[in-house]
Amino acid sequence: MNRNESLRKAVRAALAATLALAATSIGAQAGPSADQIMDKVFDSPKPKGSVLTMTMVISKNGQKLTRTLTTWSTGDNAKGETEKTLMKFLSPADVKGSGFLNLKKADGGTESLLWLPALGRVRRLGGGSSDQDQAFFGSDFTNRDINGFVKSDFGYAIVGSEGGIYTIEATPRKSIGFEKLVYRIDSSIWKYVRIEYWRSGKIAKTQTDEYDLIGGYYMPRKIVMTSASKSSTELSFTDYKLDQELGDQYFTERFLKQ
Amino acid sequence: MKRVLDFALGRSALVIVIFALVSAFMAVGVSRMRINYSVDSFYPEENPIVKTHRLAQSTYNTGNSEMAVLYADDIFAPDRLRDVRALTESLEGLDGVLRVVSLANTPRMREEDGALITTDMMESDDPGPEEIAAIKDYLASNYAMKDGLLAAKDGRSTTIIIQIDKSLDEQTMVAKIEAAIKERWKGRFETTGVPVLGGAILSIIKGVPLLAAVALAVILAFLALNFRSAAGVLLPLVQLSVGLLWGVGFLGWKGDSFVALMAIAPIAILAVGSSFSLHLLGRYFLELSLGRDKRTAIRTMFLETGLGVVVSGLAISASMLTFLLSELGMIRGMGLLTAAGVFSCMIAALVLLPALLNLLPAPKVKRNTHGKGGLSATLRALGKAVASRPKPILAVGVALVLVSTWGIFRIVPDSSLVAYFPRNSPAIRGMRAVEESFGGSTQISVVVDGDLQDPELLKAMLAFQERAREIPDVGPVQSIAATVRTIHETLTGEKGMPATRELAAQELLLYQSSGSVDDITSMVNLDYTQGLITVIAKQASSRETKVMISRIEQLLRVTIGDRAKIELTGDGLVMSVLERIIIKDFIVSLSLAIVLVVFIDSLIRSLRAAIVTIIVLVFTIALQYGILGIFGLTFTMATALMGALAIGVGDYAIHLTVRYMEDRRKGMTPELAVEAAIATSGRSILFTSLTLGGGFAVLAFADFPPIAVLGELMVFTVVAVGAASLVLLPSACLLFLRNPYSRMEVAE
Repeated sequence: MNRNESLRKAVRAALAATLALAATSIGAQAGPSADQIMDKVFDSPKPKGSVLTMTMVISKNGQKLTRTLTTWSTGDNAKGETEKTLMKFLSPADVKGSGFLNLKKADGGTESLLWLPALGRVRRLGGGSSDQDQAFFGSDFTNRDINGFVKSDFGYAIVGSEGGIYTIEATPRKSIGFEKLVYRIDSSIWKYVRIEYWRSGKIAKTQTDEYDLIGGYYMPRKIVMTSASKSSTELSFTDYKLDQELGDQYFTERFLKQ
Repeated sequence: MKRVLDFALGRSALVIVIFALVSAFMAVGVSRMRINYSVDSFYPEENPIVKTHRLAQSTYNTGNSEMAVLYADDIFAPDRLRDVRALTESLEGLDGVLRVVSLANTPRMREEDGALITTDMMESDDPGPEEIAAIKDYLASNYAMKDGLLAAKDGRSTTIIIQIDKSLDEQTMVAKIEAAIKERWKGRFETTGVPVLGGAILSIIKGVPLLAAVALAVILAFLALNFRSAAGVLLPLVQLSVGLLWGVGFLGWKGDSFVALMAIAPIAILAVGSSFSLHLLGRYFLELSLGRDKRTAIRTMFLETGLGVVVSGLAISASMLTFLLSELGMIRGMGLLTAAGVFSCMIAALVLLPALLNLLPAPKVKRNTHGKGGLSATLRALGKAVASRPKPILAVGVALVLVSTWGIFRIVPDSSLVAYFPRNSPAIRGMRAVEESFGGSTQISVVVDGDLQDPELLKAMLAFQERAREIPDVGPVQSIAATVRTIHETLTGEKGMPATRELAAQELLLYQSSGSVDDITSMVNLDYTQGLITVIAKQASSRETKVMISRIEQLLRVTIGDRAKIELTGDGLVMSVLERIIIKDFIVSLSLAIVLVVFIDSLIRSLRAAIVTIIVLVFTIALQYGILGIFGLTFTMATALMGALAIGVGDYAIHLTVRYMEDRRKGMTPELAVEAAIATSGRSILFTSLTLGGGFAVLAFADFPPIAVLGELMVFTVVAVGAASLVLLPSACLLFLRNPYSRMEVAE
């Protein structure tokens, strides 16, 4: 092997190594798209039906108010089903027995009913866009935050990725009261761990989510919504009963009134 | 004192260097001084009502409110409503604006197919005739709106309430709000509220340097007239500059802010400080004119006239320090600044002035200041007249004090905010315009501790709301009760309160899922155990406000009674409690100041000399406040300080008795000593009167009415003290101080 051939071999080897490195690098850059990430989030496994206890603590101006509710839910919009949620107040005593039924169709349309025992009537909560922006029982969550979004409501773009956390900017396709949402998504569980709600170029409120693995599902343990006005609402979830067979009879006016 | 003089004369250059260095250090302190123009600076921080007010502001996140009234031929014209909407959104977008309440965004409730629908009053950006008719109908028929809270009944004005974060700079916020209104509203508008008034206070404070400069110019002009030499003007200028610089610098280093009432302090420092140099230089020129050499003239000036400067400087400083006992930070700051400034002026007069005189060549004295001119002849004639009739003169003095005492009992105190601004000022014009449209511009908050979901308590609150409107100067009244009634009426059609506590609670729960949470939490806490009844009222005098508050309290007892614990607070109430604080400060500080003056004077001279000298002060103070009552002038935070300032002005009484005692020591009879004191000190007293009067007269041009009135009254005070010192005091000396002795025999 003459000196020139050795040199050519070395150059070819170096070229091959460079190409391999480049290919690896290109492969790494060509990770999931923003839509693919959000598909994973929206399509992550959900229990068929669940029953749980939700404790809502509203903190505002140095005061706290605690409400406890039992929640039944079933359905998955991702599978084209209507998501059904029924909540009943356990405390405080003056609203005990009050109930809330929400039906969210796969196309995003919602219907909400509120049962107030003292009034003796079921009340409908408006399903219009502005009604969805109203506070959920005086908390920092809106009815829309509680009902959840539909994936097609937004256009998505990756704006960052670090340590297994994707940062996705979600731009609404219709008015939701915010100019954009910024999600931080934990790729190890495909759940969002933080959402920033942006309005007029500033963060109007921030949601942080913590999860527990329960019965094979990552279920929220605690969700905190903190508003720029310094009020906050903490939702904590306990007594999970997952994959329950919850028939339609649970999500009726009749059950709401019981 | 001799050691101080020896140091000033022996190390004159070093003294000047030390003063220059300390002045440079104090100048840095001046640059550190901040301005506090907020209305809060008028509030007594530790007062329980103020604390409750702060707590209520924090609990209900109300911040400070600015009110704007927008005028138009027809506020319900579509383009006008569009403008109101655009303006509301623009204001809501401003950093630091906590909440905006307007005709555009106030909640409008209706029931539709079993649903409680809560929307903004203007549902659409471009309301058509049908929506406008619905808005008008809602405003006319809705229980909470029928008082014309948002739109005047004639449809020619609408009100916007803007709540501002208290932690931000109010004036920046006011400017941003004004700019937003000007941009979006093409027509007349008026604004008022605590932040707007803060702006007016700032303009008052900004006028202080000009006032001080004019006062200084006036003082220097009188000094030039008196001494007719450059040294007679420049040396006091240096001494006064040192006093002012050190006083303000001291507060700057201490971390205090400059507040509105401190506007008095620089003028007082200049006026009082100038009297020190006037007396000292007067004596210096006199000694020179009598043929003494420079060093002897300085020594006599220091050891004889300097004694009066020490007594009056310490007495004035101590009397101003008595204001540190005040509950009001503003009064404490004014007292401390004046005390620090006067004390510094005294130090500069006693140390820097001799050092400067020692280094400078002795000025050529053109004429004997005790010549045979008209003034000297008049003073000698006055001396003879006083010496021959001491008893009748004192009797006249006593009679004047008795008449003044009658006037004192007619004094009307006024601590209201309106008393602090000229009636035709933009701040007051805006306030009155807003009051005309909205029914009020200040708030009295009733903190209700109880079960705010109990229908009986809610009914009682509503009864209070309805009947409170019958009280003069009371405008709209808001509380959770009116909101609960509106929700209940919307849901059931019943014109009244929910029948049970549970129903009230559940209707509110329903509202919280359709309306704004802030609509509720600005009136009641989260667990409905405490709420606010907000009474919008007109700004009136503190006496009228007290009557109004008394009627509100009476009505609360009748309507709410023992259903809940009640506590009153709010800007309106805080301003009215100031009256009690000001009167207390006045009595405590003035009594203590008089005692201190007597104490200091008796330590340095003698108790008898101190008591005789104080006669002038007591006479002057009686006259000051007698005039206040007789002429119907109000007793305000500024005029309350007049008595203490009289102590500063009254130092020529000390100088006259110092001279009288000096001549008595030299063996003159009491009558001759009185004649000599009037003849020699009279000239200084006259020019000091002119100088001080000129300085204080400048205050009369202040934009702050209490300070302007104070300036006018201080001119009177200067004249009264001058007259009392030349007539009443010598008579008192002849009757009560015929054989004086002094602990401090300073004559060499």
